[in-house]
Amino acid sequence: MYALADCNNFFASCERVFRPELNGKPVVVLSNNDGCAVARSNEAKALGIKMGDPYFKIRDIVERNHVAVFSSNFSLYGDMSRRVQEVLHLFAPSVEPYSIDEAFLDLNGMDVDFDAYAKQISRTCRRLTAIPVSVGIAPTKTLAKIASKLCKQYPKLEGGCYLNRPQDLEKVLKIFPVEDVWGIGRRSVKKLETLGIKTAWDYTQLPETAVRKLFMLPGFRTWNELKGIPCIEFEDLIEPKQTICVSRSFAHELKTLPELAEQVANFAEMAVSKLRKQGSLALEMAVFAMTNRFKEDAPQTTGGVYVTLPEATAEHKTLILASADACRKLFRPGFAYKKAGVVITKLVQARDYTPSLFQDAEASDRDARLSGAIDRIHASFGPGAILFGAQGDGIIRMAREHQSPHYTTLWEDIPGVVVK
Amino acid sequence: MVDADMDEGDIIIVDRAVEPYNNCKAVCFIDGEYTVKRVVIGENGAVLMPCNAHNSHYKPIPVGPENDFLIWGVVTYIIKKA
Repeated sequence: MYALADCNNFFASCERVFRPELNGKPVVVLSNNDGCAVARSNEAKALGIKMGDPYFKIRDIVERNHVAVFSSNFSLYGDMSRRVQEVLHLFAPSVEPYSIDEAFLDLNGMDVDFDAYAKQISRTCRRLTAIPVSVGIAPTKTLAKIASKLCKQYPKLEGGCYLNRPQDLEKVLKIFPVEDVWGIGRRSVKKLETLGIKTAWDYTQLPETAVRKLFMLPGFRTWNELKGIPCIEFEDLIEPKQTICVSRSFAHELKTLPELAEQVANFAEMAVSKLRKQGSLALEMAVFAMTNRFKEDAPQTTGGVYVTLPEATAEHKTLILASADACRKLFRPGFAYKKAGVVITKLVQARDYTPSLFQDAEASDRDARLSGAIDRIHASFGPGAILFGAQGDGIIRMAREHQSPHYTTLWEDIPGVVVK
Repeated sequence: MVDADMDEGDIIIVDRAVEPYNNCKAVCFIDGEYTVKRVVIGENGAVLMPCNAHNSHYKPIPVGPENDFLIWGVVTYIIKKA
């Protein structure tokens, strides 16, 4: 038996924790650089604000309806996520975070009233962290995800839903759209449409041979999971990415090479962290930068430079210096750069890689030890604790005009109370 | 207004996991601000009393199941500013 605990409208809910007067009110959280809506409370959704709507598009609705708007506050969201995880650990020996706001719990071997348990987990999360969490319990992870979605749609479920009885499963799967099933991607949806498959139930009714042929192993796994046969291991969930991209838009356009190179070095550093985290090495890097295409009368340019690395690497020094080098090559004076990014590609898993004979063993050993030290410093003191000179002050110049205080991670941002 | 235990500039630790007990201090959210109140639990339910007994112009606020969200968390420690 598996549980999926999914926070409702997570970023928006985090903002409400220390602003209880916003409960029941429309709340929107904006993406990096205050670009578009990435989280909306139910009341904001009801006003027609869609996921990904650019801020300038919804400004009218926001002003007319007094919608509370926040810039992303990742320190707050990360900390609240950690707290929710801690609560979940009270309910299962094995908790696997799937994303910042979702985690699977392995309940195998437990013998409890699962419906009551699901509701209890939801209630306890809400009480201890003030975050509303929907908990679905079912024989497979895919079904647990469906069960947790049901909680969001049906308040009567009181935040917890247990889906196991064949008659319940049939009823639910017959009205559950197949494109919402976890594991069914956009390309599969097109194929399914032509076959007339609309619901999760229709999918389960396909013959095994058809599923294997048309949707391959992933589709077959999902098919089994929908039928109550668990086949997705926790390890399968995390597939190493094939490309890693870090890019941001700037609050104010950058006109000089040093400024641009600094920001690019910071993006490279973030990309290296992700690369090292998944145990991969990179053979190629691309750096791009562009002007603001919405400013029609300003001179426009888009530049991209590819760098092929001599050896597959995940060392900070090599990749950050390569990014600064590429940035120098693409920069053109007289332009105001609005956005830039670093993409690392041609990734290989470190454990599958044999370095070439021509590699300078001593230098690469030194670099590896440097990177190891950087990793350890970051782990103990946080991401900004140590920087390369190329990174400048390490701050990415994004617009964050509506950011809430770091209530739980900065001493000076602790909320105030009065004694009455 | 200051409580016998709490002074300006003090930091308090609030634990949402603690069940409010009779005469505990709790951070409550009333009229748009966080306020520390004393929780009195009687046979007829809970009431939020002013922390300072001398402040009688703050009226007691009854708390029932329909408004139990008023109590945000119980104060467990007070860290005094030096």
